[in-house]
Amino acid sequence: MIVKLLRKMFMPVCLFLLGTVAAMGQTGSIQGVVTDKMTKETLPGANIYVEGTTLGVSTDLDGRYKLENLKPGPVTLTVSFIGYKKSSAEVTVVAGQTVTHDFAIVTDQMMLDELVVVGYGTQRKMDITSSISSVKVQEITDISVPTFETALQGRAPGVQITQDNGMASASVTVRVRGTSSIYSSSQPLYVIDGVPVITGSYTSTSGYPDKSNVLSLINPNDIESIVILKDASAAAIYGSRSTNGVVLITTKQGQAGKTKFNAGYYYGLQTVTHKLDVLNGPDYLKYTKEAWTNSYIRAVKSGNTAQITQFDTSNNYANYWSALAVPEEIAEKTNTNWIDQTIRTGKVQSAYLNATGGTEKTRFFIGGGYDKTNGILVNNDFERISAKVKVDNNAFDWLSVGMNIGITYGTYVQVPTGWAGGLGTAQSRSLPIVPIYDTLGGPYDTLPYNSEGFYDPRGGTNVVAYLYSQEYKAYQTYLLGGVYAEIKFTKNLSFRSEFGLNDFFQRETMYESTLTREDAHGEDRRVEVDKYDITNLLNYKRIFNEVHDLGIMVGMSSESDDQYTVGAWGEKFPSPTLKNPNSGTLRDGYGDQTGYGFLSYFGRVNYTYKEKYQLTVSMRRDGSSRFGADKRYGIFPAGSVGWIISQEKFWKVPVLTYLKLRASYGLTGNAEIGNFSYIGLWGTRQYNGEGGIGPDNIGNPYLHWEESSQFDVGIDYGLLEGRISGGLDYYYKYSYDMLLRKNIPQTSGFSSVMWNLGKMQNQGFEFFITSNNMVREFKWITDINISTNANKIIDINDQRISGPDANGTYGNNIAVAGHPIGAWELVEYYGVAPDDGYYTITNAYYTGNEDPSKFNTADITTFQYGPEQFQVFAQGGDPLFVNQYGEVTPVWDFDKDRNIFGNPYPTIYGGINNTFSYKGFVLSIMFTFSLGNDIYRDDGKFFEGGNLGSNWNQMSIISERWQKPGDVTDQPILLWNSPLSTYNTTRYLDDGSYLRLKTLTIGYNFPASITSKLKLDKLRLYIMGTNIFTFTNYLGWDPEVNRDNSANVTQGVTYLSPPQAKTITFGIDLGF
Amino acid sequence: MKRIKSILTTIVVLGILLTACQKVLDVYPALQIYDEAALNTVQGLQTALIGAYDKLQSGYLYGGRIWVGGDMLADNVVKSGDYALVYEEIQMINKQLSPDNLITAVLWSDGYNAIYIVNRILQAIPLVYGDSISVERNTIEGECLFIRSMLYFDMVRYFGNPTSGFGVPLVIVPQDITEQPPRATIEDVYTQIIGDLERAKTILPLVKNNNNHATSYAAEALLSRVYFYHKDYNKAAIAATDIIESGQFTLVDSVKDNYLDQTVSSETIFALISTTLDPSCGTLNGYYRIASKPRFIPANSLIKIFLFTGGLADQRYTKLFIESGGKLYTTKFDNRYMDVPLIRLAELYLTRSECRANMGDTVGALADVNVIRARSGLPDLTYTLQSKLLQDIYYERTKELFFEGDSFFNMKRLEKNISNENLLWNDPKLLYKIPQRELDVNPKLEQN
Repeated sequence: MIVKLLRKMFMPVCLFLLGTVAAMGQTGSIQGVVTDKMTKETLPGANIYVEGTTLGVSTDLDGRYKLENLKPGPVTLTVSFIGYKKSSAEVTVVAGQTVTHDFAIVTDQMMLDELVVVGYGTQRKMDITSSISSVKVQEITDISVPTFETALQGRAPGVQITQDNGMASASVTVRVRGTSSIYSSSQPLYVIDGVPVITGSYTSTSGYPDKSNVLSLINPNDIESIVILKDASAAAIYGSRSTNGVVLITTKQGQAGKTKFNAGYYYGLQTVTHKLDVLNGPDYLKYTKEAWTNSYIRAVKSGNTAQITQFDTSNNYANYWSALAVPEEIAEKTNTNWIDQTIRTGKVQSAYLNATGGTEKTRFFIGGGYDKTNGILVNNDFERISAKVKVDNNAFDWLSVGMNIGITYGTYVQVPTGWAGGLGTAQSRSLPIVPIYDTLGGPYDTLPYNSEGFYDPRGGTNVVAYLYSQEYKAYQTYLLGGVYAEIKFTKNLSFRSEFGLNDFFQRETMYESTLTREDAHGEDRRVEVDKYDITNLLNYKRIFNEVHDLGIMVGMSSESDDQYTVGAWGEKFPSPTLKNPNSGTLRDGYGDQTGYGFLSYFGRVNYTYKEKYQLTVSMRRDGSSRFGADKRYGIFPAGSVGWIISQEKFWKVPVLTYLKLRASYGLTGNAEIGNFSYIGLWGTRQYNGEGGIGPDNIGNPYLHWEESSQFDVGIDYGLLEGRISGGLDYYYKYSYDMLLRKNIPQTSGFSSVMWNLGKMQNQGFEFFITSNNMVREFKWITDINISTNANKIIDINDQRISGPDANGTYGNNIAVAGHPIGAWELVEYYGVAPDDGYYTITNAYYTGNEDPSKFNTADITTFQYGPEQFQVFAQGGDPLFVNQYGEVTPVWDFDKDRNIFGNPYPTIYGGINNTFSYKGFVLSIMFTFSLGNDIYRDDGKFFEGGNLGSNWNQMSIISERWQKPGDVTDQPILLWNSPLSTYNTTRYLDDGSYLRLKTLTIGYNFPASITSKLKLDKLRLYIMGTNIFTFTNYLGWDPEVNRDNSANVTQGVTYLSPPQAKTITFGIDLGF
Repeated sequence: MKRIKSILTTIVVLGILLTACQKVLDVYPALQIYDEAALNTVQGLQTALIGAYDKLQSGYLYGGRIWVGGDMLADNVVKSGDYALVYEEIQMINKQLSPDNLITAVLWSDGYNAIYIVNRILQAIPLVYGDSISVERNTIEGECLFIRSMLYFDMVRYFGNPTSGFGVPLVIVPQDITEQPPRATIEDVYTQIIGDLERAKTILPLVKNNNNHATSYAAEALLSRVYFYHKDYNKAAIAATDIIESGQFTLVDSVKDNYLDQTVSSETIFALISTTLDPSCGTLNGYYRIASKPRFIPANSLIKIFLFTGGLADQRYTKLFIESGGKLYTTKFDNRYMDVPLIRLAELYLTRSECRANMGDTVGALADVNVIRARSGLPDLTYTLQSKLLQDIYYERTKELFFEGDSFFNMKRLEKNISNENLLWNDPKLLYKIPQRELDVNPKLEQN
């Protein structure tokens, strides 16, 4: 050991001496140019080194290199460059001379030697036997999007990404190989530089229903690579949180050499992708009047005296006019487009500056960024300032240390969009016959809409008043940092210890003035999330007898997460300029504190024989505070095998030059169920000013992880030396012991108890291909990825689980065995009765009134099926439904006739990207598509005649309504405040399939001849469009929509949800 | 040297493992207490009792919809047009209740949740107090019985089906989550309620105001109401007399004084208390309060009763109605911090009046109804024809207690036709549906 140490100390000295000696003797040089064999272009930045030494240089801007002071004699020169195959050549150095050797290297389209980040380590791409998707840095940063998640859309097979809406900092729904859980989270685990990070939304949802996204605080320009672990073999090393896949993000690292700078800026404009077609003022009057008249005619027909009086049409419709929201003289001359008041042309701006450099011993990366989005909705802004430093130091040849720290400050401004205030109200309760301003110049119709004594997000119609009266801003600080030390005990054995810290602080200020509230309301809310984790890894890697390549990793990690919320609100402020809750006369506070911990041990063995046969086995034991003491630990094993057939001697298929078979199987877990579900708890209450307690949760000490077993089989292939490459996978993921809220009789005092009882499967194919169609001066690359997923609930104990809320649901999504999760429970809509007539219903009789034909359908509710035949009368224009016997009926009887329809998740989805380049020009066209998913327009039932007469604006499609006998249409007769249209039926279930021109980029990279004059390494100008156009049959705003990304069951539902944005950006990237 | 470093490193790492790591799994809730420790002390029982009262404040219970539900079914209210009705309200107005109607479903779930709390307390009382009997113990027990009775009484009136005789499941001890209690008969539920209230009456403190909690008077007043609805008019009258003659409660001069901010009027026997930070009347404000753009205004049928039975000089009309924009609103629920008067002395007069009339004591009946009429500024009734008298008592009761959760049940009790559609009192359309989710998990339940 002492000897070794001495060697360590003396080695540099010796090298120095040797160098000096060599310099004194005769030496020679080698120079040359490195070019692309196909395009003949010179390649700057390629690395040339002398094998067996530390001597090496990079090529300059013209692709030239020169190695000097070489000892005479033969040497092996190797050139390596990202994206190219390594190339070596024997060159003989002659003393006192400069030998010229040029390299023409070929692109390595397969990139088999590339190191890919996997859980707790890296692996050569070739050695990977599990299913992972790797997204290159350029694919993310060449797209001017504010968050990295949206940049992944359509680029990774098996990964479905939906930006929930087009708002700044909008939440994103990510599904890796389908939804694997009903009640727990189905979002993947995000790990940045080894640290599982804080994700989700922490903005207050009280009155501000749309979620923000913490991950939008990550600057995409700091990211080097994103890898998505999909199958059990890849993911199970993350144990109890790996069922939904793992997204591994690696940030940029310093590169030794001259300090290089990269800078960029873009500016863009945004509009909504599509505008909802609602009635204008005159049309609103026309249709409401028609409805009024129809209601009157029907009242006369049925002899309903109360309604005859109500819908009296005499005196020039005096009753009608008084039933409108505004007086006749105002209504007739007003035509307000409220939607236009709440949307705008948005602006996006982004700038970044990175510096990277250092020596072989110490390397650094420094990055800074500024982003500002003024979104498509008025008062929706997001601003982000980020800074990042990463330093790595090789202290000794046996010790390297490093740290990185990234800090982001973001501000987020928003008016509520769902109901009160913003776009949600503008498209529904804000009527086109209501003027914006009254005669005095103040907002029209702003009586306080207070229900239940507190702020009710359902109130309010004058959006403009809300835009003035409501202020909301969130100030967010996101800190992510870590330090590590890595010790090399021997050449084969190393130890790495990491400490990661992730903090999130948020301050929200909210204020609503008396313009829209009875009492002004000010609120201040703070959230703090503190997260740290410790990871220790012991790595052993050795090649025995040149054929057995063995890698062993064992490790442990512990993670702790604490969250604190505290807030205060105030009302009855002495002055309108006082808004801080503490200046309110009436004020109160609230808060929360919670947390969880994980303690895990894990290990993995990788073994490769002759670079042909590959085996990976891993195991993790996880402990979690979220379960009772007896059920705290779980074990998650996984394994995979690979066989590179094309390495076999017998493989002589000429075109198929690379073929690898692989298979994996393993167990993964999901524990995202809230922190204390396992135990019965009583929380605080109050009454009469006294403190009390009440039951919050009924415990279940037997709770344990949700588990999934996943089987994956796949191939990786390469044709024509990698000109065409790709992969194909089949997977079957079986989730069991799913944590469900098991419904129990409420007579027990509770609605449900957490229970491990569900079973669900996901299976699908993933296919991707990269084809270098043209590789010479004109390049054309096509990337296609297509994924399928079929989800089916196998068993959830005969439950029907609806939406996120035990009491209230929206959208009628349901989880029920035999169907995909989130399918809809609806009555089938048949159409509209063209004429008055009877509908014969077999086996049915009516037990309410003796002569049911006298009544219209709205009167028939108790409808029992029995031995007799029965006739139901429908008037022309009534909606018709299909009952449980498949018969057409005018009676909507949800209890008896409901059925399961649709699927909120696509069955096929993916992306098609074509990149053309010629000289410096690059044109990239990317389509994304989603097929087979449905969207339930939960607002449709109020939009299409349903709430006519209830002060809701209507969609223009009601112009297709039934008007006279014989009309054949899907839109029923218009009636004032008709119950006929507000039923949940398949009428509002739309096919959500779409094909979208997601991005189109035209860029120009200036040639070296110009950039060198400008003293630049790189200069790129580009124009890019996002969401340029969309082919879809969907009737609402935009088919990429999700009302609530936290619930697995409630997907594919809209309720006045904001649309997506179409963006055009102009940008510049510089390197120097 | 290197070995030493390696060893040191290992020690450091092991140190981290042993100290930091085991502790990461020890995470405890900071704002909640464990169930097993919640009810072990007197303080636990008392705070849980507060929790039960808190639950009564729910907008689906006495915070509002127990009152409003019947008025929607009876068409005592009509849509104001100021504020859109939601799905479940439209269903009730249209008499098309579905089993997922929120108003009925949450009455069920919140009701049984409150009942669970008091059942837990009742179960824990002997464990905490042992054999010792004290005023404190009796008060806790009596309040629990009172709360449970009040809930069962309203639930059985909404869910109980007079045709089949089925009431609601009767849970009087905390049940296991696997139990599937069937619907008890309406009679059995009444028997339980009456027994509980008789006991509550004797063990609760005989004071006017037990710090705003239930008192012996509250229990007896509720008992009078229960007997009345059970058509046991003799016992209802006796209980009413006890309250009226106790001298503890007096009618206020101005009816509006029953609905003031944070004031329990001299006539209120039991109220749901509001504080500025914890109002009990928010839901009622939302339904009726003019400044809140209410969902409902009084129906013409109600106005007509005022018009035709004493005229509009009635202070219940002049002080509790207001016209605005061509519509007539009620001002009963205009205050945002009103203590919701769940039982008032006026009701007991009217109850006794009707009981007496039914039992042939027309003089006594007239005396009682005239007390109420006089307070409202109406002349005394003088005739003694029983049927006409009963009719007028009905009108007085309707006018006195409008929107206070009485009218719908009163019409059912009197077997009058109900709603604009003139439905028979026992028409199944007027019954709350057993929630679908409940039928799904408890096959022993039968739908109405």
